[in-house]
Amino acid sequence: KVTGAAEYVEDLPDLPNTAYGATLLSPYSHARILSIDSSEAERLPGVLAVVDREHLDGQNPRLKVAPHEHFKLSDDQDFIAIDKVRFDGELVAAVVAEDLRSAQRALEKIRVEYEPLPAVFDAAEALAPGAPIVHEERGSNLLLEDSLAWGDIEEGFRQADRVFEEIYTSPSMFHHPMEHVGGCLAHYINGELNIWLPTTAPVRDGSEFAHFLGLEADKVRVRVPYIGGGFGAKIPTPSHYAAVFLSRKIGRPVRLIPSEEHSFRQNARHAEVFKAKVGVKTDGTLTALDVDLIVDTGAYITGGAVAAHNSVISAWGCYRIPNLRVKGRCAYTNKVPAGHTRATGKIQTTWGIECTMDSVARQLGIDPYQFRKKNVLLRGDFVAKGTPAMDTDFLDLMEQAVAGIGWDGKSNLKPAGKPETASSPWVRGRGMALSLRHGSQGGGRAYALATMDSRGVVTIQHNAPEAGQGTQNLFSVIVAQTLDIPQSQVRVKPPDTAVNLPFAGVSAQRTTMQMGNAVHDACTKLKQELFSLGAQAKGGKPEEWQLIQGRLCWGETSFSISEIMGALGGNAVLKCVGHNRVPVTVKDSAFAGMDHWAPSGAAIDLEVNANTGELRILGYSVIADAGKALHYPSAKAQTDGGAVMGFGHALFEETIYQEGQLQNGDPFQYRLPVMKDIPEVFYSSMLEKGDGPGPFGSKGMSQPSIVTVAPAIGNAIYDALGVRVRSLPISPEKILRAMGKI
Amino acid sequence: MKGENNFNLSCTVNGRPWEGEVRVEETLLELLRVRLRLTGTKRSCESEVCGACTVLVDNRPFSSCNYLAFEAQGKSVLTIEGLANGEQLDPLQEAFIRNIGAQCGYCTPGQIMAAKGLLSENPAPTREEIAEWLSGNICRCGAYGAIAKSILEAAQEYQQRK
Repeated sequence: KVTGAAEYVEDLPDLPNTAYGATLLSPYSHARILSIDSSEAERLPGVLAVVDREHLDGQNPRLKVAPHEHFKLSDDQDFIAIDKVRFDGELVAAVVAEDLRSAQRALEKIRVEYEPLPAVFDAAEALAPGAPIVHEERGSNLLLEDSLAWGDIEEGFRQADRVFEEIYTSPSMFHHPMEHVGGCLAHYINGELNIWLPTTAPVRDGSEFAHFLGLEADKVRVRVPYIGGGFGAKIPTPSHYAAVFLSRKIGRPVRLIPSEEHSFRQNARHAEVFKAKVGVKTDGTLTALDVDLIVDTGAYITGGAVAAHNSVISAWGCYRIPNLRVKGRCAYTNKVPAGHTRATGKIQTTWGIECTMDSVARQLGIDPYQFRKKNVLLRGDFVAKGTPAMDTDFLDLMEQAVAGIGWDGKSNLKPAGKPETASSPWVRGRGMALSLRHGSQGGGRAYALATMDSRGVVTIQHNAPEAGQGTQNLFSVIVAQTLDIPQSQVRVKPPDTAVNLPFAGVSAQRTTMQMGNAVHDACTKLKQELFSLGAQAKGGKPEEWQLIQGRLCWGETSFSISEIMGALGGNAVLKCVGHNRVPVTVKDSAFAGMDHWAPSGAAIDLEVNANTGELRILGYSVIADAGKALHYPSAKAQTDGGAVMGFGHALFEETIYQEGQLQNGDPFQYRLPVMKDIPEVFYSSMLEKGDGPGPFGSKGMSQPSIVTVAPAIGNAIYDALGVRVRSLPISPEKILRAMGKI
Repeated sequence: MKGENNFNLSCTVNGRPWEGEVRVEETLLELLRVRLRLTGTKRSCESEVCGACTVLVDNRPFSSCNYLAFEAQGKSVLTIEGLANGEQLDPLQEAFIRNIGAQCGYCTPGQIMAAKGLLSENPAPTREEIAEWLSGNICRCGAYGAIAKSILEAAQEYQQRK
């Protein structure tokens, strides 16, 4: 990566005879397609083929929706627009030509006649009577409903001395990986598809492409080069299917190179409304929580079911709530479809519940730190049916988080804002937030293959892509530790589905837990094989053998690995397949298949300008529970990076829709965090108690740090000014509005 | 033959002379990536906003996506591939590895080349000066802390070597 040698999909050399694809996207968020005429485009020199609704050659355009264990979902998206377009950026046509310029020129010659329809960009409005219907055949914009409950909610409110209602909203945003979304190199030849694309789940994608093409799954080979960032965005999108379709049509490799504007329109994050009613005793004991969620999936299901479900099961935060009811509704709108995004569904609910808890505490006159301490779940506490008991120490996380910014945790209970007499408009505030996410969840078994050659070099094959988390390094560390050999003796191959090793994909904090355990298991088996081999060749019983510092030891004698491998003869190798243990799924539990909790705590120190609403972040600290950091710098990089993205999400990122179109889907108008936005005092650390279910006691920890930034900032602004901003991003304008200044 | 819209370019790329015909509208990014197969320089925003395509031209950083190839006439272009001295990595590259200054790695060549340009102009920058200089280099993985640390360490390393 630092020498430029790492190859991303766009860096892969062309295959012989490669043709170039370009895509035509809808300029409207909602419109009926009256006609498409691509005849002029087809006649242009260099143009090889066009696909649009008139050129399907019998292909069923409908894409298969990813199944969800809690919902019955019906397929709702075509790879190319048929009767109408439902978002600004929907794929309407694609052209393949001898070179990219010819393909792009041809797009300009495709005549599409649209009849614009009224569009809806707000999920609550979409659910109201009279809203434009995104999918007419469904009759309404309601995609699904989900719920979670325990205790008796009515009784909980009866026991309460006070009841508070709070509302917090999160906008849609774009993942914005530096490498664009939607690129690939596809080659259909002899009834088989070879495709190279940046994706988090090559095994799943292979079966989806096979389904699309009507092929057996083993006729599709997916290879994943380095991925230039994903954050949930790197999944197959309609443009990939168009490339596959066109490659089959012309019998040549097709390369797609999306532009930034196209990338912006491939997928997004779910906008959400979080509405809570909290019952509490005057001493601060929580008695009831009733949450109503509205999740905006955009024009298609994409990640809607996962986002809605994750939001519902995380909306209660990390507190002891005897009586709970959470209801979530997921609605279609005319926005870019929302896929998974780093901490899917959880980032929105953490903003909601953590501001709510702070607000309730303050209204009761209780310090928010003490309020959290009183109500937070402690190690060993029962959490919910089908989940492990609480397996972390929130009090440690809280203590370390506030210490990280040199704060004693005491809030300013009566913030006066800026005294009229003060000479400076800057007012200081501090705030904190906690988060709790279900650890790695679902996905079935993950497999890894370990091969040891005659020199003792171990090669790992797997299907867990590297998107910046340090996956390859992580596996190499696990191999080295398990076998006690140097990392220089370990090779980790990039994902390739030609090696049939299932894995659900690098998301939902699965990589360390599931694939990490699979690699660990494969190496443990390899070790047993070596011991048997040693016993056969030199004597003793396998259990008398040990591997220490790269040497096979038996009693007083020790041998190099290659010497024992030599007993196999010639260049023979040892191969072992490992897999993870799948947690027992409890029937009727909303938390299916999770094996640990992934918590974090954060605190922020800031100044806010009472005249302009500007913020200065003085310090930020975040502590994640990693169980055990397998490679400390990489684990810390995940924690730091998540927090940086959290600043963008908290302070300026949102997609803006007006007059039927996406207004800021370009690099000039979509503001991203830069180095200057990161505070000088930036403390991130990890709890390491070796108590996780992953290799060597590790836990999943790529996601906890992103979610706490926004609520900590919101709470700190209240601490400074005594006003609350209830919608993200927290702009200076919103602060001034909350103050009643504009 | 020199066409109407073509230009005979002669420059050096990573220390080696390069001569050839370029289209007037051809960007330096295209020349490097497509014709010279120097794919370490990345394409991203193509609007001079993100910095992924940063290369040095006569030691100064430019976004090669908005730099026309013919403008490099008589100049010296340095890309990420030309930074190491054979197997010997540049102190910036070593520091980026040490500090995990590269996560997904896509912005990394641009970050390193921009930093190289900074250190040739200002051998001992402060953290604020680094942040100001790199305000046109976006890292979506959020490795900014590690990137700043790497540049500070590399600056020291350069000084010591002198």
